[in-house]
Formats: sequence, C-alpha cells, structure tokens
Amino acid sequence: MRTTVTLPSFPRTTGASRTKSSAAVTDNLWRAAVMVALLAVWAALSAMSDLVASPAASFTALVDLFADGSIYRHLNATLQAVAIGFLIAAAVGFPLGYAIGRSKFLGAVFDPIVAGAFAIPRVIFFPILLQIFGVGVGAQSAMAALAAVFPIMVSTTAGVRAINPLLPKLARSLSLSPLQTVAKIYVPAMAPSLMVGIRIGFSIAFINVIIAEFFAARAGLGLLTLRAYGQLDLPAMYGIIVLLALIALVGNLVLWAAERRLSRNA
Amino acid sequence: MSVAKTLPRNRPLQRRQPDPLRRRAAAVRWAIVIGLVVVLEATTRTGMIDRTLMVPPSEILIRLASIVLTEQFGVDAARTITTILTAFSIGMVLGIPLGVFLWRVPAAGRILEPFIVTGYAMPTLLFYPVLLAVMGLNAGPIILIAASMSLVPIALTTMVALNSIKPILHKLANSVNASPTQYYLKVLLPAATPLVFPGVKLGFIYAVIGTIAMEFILAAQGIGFRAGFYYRELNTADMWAYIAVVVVLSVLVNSILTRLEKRIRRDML
Repeated sequence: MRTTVTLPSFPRTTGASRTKSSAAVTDNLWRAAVMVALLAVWAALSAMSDLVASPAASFTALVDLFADGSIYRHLNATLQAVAIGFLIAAAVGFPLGYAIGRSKFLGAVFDPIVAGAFAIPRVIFFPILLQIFGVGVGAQSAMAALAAVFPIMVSTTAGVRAINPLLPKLARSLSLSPLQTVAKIYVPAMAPSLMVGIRIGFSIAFINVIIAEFFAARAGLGLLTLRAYGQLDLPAMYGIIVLLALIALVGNLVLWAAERRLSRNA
Repeated sequence: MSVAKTLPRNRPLQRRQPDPLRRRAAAVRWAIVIGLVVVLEATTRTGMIDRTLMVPPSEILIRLASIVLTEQFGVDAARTITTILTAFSIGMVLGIPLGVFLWRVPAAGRILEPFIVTGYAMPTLLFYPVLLAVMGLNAGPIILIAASMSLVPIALTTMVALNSIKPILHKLANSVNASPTQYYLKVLLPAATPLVFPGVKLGFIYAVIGTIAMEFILAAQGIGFRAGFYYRELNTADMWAYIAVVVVLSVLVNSILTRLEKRIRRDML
C-alpha cells in the first residue's frame, strides 16, 4: 500500500525508430510543421485582436530588449534563482528520497507526508519566504527549492524501489562498501529516474520562480512581463513570454534527450 | 508493492489486519506532525518566531473558526471550488480523447512527444499575462491555465494505459463481433480505468495547484487571492488562516483520491 504520487512515464517508442533514420527526419519535419502551425495560429490571432501583438513585432521587441541591454539584469536574476533553488532542492531531495526508498519503515512513515506536501500549492508559502529573506533573489530561490524538492524526492523514491532486487545481493556478494554500493550499483541503475527527477525539478523550479516574480520581486523576467502588461507594451510582453517558453522548451528537451539516452543504455 | 499484488486472489473484499510495521509508522507519522505543531506553538508563543512572520497555531485555529462562518469565505471558497472543478472537467473532457487519439495514431504521439514533455513541465502558466490581456481579470484565464495543467497527465496516462492492455482483449472483441461502441465501452473502458486513475488523480491535484497559484498571483476573488491579499495588508493571522485552508484542502483532496485509487485498483489483478 503506497501513497506516492506517480509521474507517468513515457512508453519507450524510441528504440525502434533509431534504426530508421529517415523516420526520424520525417518526425522532425512534422515537429517543425507543428511549430510553424503554432506561429501561424498566433499570427492569425494577432490579426483578429488588438490585444495580441504580431509575432514579428514581439520578436523585434525582444531583440530590442537585448540590444539595449536592459533585459540582462532580469535574465540573470531569474536564472540565478532557478539555479540556486534547483541545487538546494537536489541536495536535499535526492538523499531524502533515496533514504525513503531504501527503508520500508521510513517509506511507510513519510510516503503520505510527501504525497500530501506534493499536493499543496507551495506558492502559498511565498509571503512567509518574503518576510524571511526580503524581496529579492533569496526569496525566489527559496521558493524554487521548496517547490522542486518534492518532485525530486518522489521520483528518487520510485527509482530506488524499482531497482532489481538482485542488484543489492550482487553488491553484498562482491562485499562492496556501502559507498561503493551506492556509487557503482544504485546510481547507475537509477540513472533514468534520477534524470526524470532532474527534469521535473528544473521545470517546477523555473515555473515557481516566475510565479514568485509575478507576486513580488526586485528583478526578473516574470516581473518584466507583468510590468510590460501594466504599461500595455504588448509586443515586449509577448517577446518576453516567447523567451520564457524557449528557456523551458530548450531546457526540457536537453534534459529529456539525456533521459532517453540513459534509459536506452540502462 | 501496491495493495493489489499483496491481496489474496479470492478474497478481494476482506479487510486485512494492518501489519505492525504500518501501525508503528502511522504512530511515528502523527508524532512528527503533532510535534511540529507543538514546536511552532512554543516558538511563536515565546517570541522566538516573530509575530509578523507567524502567529501561534492555536490562534490560527481560532481565526479559522471565525473566518469559515463569514459570507466572504463562502464566496471565496465557492469561487475556488467551482474553478477547480471546471478546470478539471475540461482537463478530463479534452485529456481522455487526446490520450485515445495518441494511442490510435502512434505517429502523432511520437511527433508530439517533445511538445507534451515540455507541456508536462507546466510552462502554460507563462501565458497567464496573455490570457489576462485577452480575457480580463476573471475566472476565465485561471480555468484555462489550470485545465491545461490537468490535461497533460490525464492524456499521458490514458495513452500509456491503452497501450498496456493485453492484446487478447482486442482479439476477444473481434471474435464476438463487438461494435466500435461496445469495444470502447465494454472492453477498453473497464480494462483501462484502473491504470488511468493515477493520472486522473494527478490531473485533479494539478487543477488544485494551478487554480490556487493563479489566484494567488492575480485575481479578484478566491482562497488563493485572499492569502496574498492579507499578506499585502500585513494581516498575518488571517493570511495564515487562509494558508491553513489551502493546506487542509490540498491534503484532504489528496487523501480522498488516494483512498479512491486503492478501491479502484483493488479488483485489478
């Protein structure tokens, strides 16, 4: 009886498509077509409504923001908060998730707590963090850490539990030290689920930094977006949103590719 | 180990004695939770934690009792709950057909996979300002964002569940000349439901998270909005009361869904 939050995994459709590189090319062409279609929908919407800036105007506004250098301060603040928050969450989440996964008793104690905490919108605690850290990158990082730590724990725990029970026996038969057992046996076996944890953790850290910046911040892309909205500078607002979506997309795709490579070798 | 695997096959409805490990675990868990509340009570009473940061849990409870009876709370709670339910319904109505489509057309699943993987990381929240610009400051943008968050896990698990149905069932449906309607309703639906449920549960939790997070940032009503509102008013006691409402609501929803999940997965062997 477990009360963990399971992150649905993808069926492995990738193994077969490797042999047919032409299929991969076709797939990528289709993906490009989907991107173009999305852009076309955006362009159509902008033609219909005054509240939607055209893609061209948005990209121009984004380029301008980079050209006059005003965006760098905000970009740095956001990326810094995501990085710090994610590192804290990883440093806490991986060991704790591992311990909960390894021990039956700890699992029975903490599974419901972790699942319950996972279900709480952690953003609601942001005002408390603001009072502790003040308005700034510190509060944003703490928010990201608090949000990302639970998904990382959940996927680590699931990863430990999914390990083939023969592997620990193998480690004992080779009389490996506990440290060796973790480094040589557990970590390689868990690599795919660790990557899932890293990817989901990164995404949730990123999203929560943006939400926190919407609420209160000194600098950051989220703050800049809302400021542009407030000044009705719609091209700039859409430009920054494109940048944010790009960061999320590229970060996710890089981590996802690593994840698939690992699960193929596993 | 899920309960379905440990249950004896022919006695699915008999209640088992809870094993001593789980009983001890539950005791330790409650001790941790109660201990935490006691520590918070002590540190806030003695002033180790400043009153502007947190008021004692006992005071939060008293505030809570008085807030729950007010008309404003009723309006906020109704707003939040209808938003969550609407978003979740949209997520179900769109997510399940999308999952079926991704299962029927594997090529589409393969092509859209990177988009869905990115969508799973919830960047739909980024479009909140856009929706605000287009729809205005009402429940519309919040419902759309929360629905898009809840849709992804539902669609994904539907696809995975349908992919993992035993091929014999498809053959069975063919051999008895089942119509397409019968095939979906009498074969696929019962076979996939237990497998889809974890995704539906996650979808509901995401609808809750999305709704409250969005209300918190920018809204005119709702429980999430009220917590942010009292922070800006520097009214710590009321802010904590609303945070407590959110925490209790989330944990309650999660435990109800978990119980339901066990019921549904129990007869799956």
